[in-house]
Amino acid sequence: MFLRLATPISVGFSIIALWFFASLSIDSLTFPGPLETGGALFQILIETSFYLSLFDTIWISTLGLSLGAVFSYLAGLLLTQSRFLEQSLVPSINILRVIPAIVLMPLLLSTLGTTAFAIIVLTSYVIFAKLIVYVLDGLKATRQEFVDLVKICKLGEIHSFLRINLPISLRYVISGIQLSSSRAYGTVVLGGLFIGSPGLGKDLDRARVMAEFDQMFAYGFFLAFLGILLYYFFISFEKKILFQWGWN
Amino acid sequence: MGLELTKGFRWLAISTWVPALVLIMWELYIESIFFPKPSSIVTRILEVIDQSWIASNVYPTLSIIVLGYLLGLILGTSIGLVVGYSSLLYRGLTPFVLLLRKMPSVAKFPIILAILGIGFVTQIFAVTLSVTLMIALVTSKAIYDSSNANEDLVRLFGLSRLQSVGMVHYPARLGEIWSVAKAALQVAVIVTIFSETVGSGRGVGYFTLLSKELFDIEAMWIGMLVLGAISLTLHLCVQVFEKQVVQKFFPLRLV
Repeated sequence: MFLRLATPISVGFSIIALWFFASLSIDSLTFPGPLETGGALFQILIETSFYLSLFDTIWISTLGLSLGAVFSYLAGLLLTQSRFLEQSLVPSINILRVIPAIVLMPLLLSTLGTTAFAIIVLTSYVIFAKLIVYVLDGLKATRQEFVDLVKICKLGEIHSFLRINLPISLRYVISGIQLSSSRAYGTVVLGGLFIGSPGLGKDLDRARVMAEFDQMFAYGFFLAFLGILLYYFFISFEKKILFQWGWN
Repeated sequence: MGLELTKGFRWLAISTWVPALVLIMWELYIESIFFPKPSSIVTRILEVIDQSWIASNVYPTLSIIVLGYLLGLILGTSIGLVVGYSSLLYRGLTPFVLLLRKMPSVAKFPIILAILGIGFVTQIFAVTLSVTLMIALVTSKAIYDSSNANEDLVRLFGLSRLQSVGMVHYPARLGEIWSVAKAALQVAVIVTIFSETVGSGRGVGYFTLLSKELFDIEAMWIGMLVLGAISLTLHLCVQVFEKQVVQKFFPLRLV
């Protein structure tokens, strides 16, 4: 136990010491040390505007993620209803999936401007493209025994969907949401940096443009910290839900 | 042979009728400044894209993505293998690699730019760093988990460390590692385009954003289409490499 904690703590101290000495030898204006960065982080944390940006980042990410998840589930349901429809649309979706969100940003900027709505649309698209595969896998994962059982029990389509298809597919969707959550967050930060949409990315870009390097480093650290928090939040969310449903 | 051809044509027809219909509808019915007709975009492509345009725009973008990605792949795999095999290194370094990894890749670029300044090396470094972190994290976790899970197997066959990595641990987690490698390619494209617009002033990303600023919407579409084509082609290359080289070089023999 001691070794488990002692190793990362000693590595952490070594990295901070290395950073401190590196900042002494490099231009301290463009490469602030740990003390300057810590001071700037403290300054940022006592400003109200920071919390507004943090709130923007979180609600835009959450809404984009939720909408993307809902659309991908609905699209998945539609596609699994007809083999022809699936064969017609899945190849196009697969092509769109490998094209990064940043490619579409100039068009989005032209049509929707630098609004939160533009980034919600983009985040939903990114999540849709990532999740649709999980949804299709989940909806196809229903075992033949269950399908036969539905026929024997003469359950209606809605009942069989609610009792069999939905619980089985949600397991895949929740794993997909856990894996896509960092993409939603990354897209919102990218939007702030690239097109100036609301959120912490916009604040980081402002610090860059104003050449406030200590603030820029502080924002970078905070974004990493927030990324870690979201990562563990979604992992525990996934585990909790799957555990509650007896799928762990 | 004939049956295969018919199947191929059938698949092609089914998978292309939707995009074809969308293009026809767009050509016939959409009247918008931001969505110029596909025919006018094609005409403009023929005017704009020539050897000098490719040399001044596509070549810089492609060289940054490819060079940065390959370096990141090699470095990330090497670091991941070393870290994953030593539990001390794994426990010590993983929290910090994870912290850096969870900072959105584009957020790292302004910091790298402040330290290294504007230039080709900075762009390559930014792409390499993002890819390295992704690959190192997944590879180290895969090797660490597999070392614990397959400890008895390695002992039973009396494999050396190098043999156990090449014959057991890496092949056992190949799918996991290469699915992240494909995602890392998208990150490489994102960081490259972002770095072009912020720190270099050349490349297809810069061309696209400049066209948008100048309200040359057709040129903006050309940039977007070229970037999409670059992403798609590179993705297919990685997929082929994974199937034809990696899976053959590291076959799953023992697990």
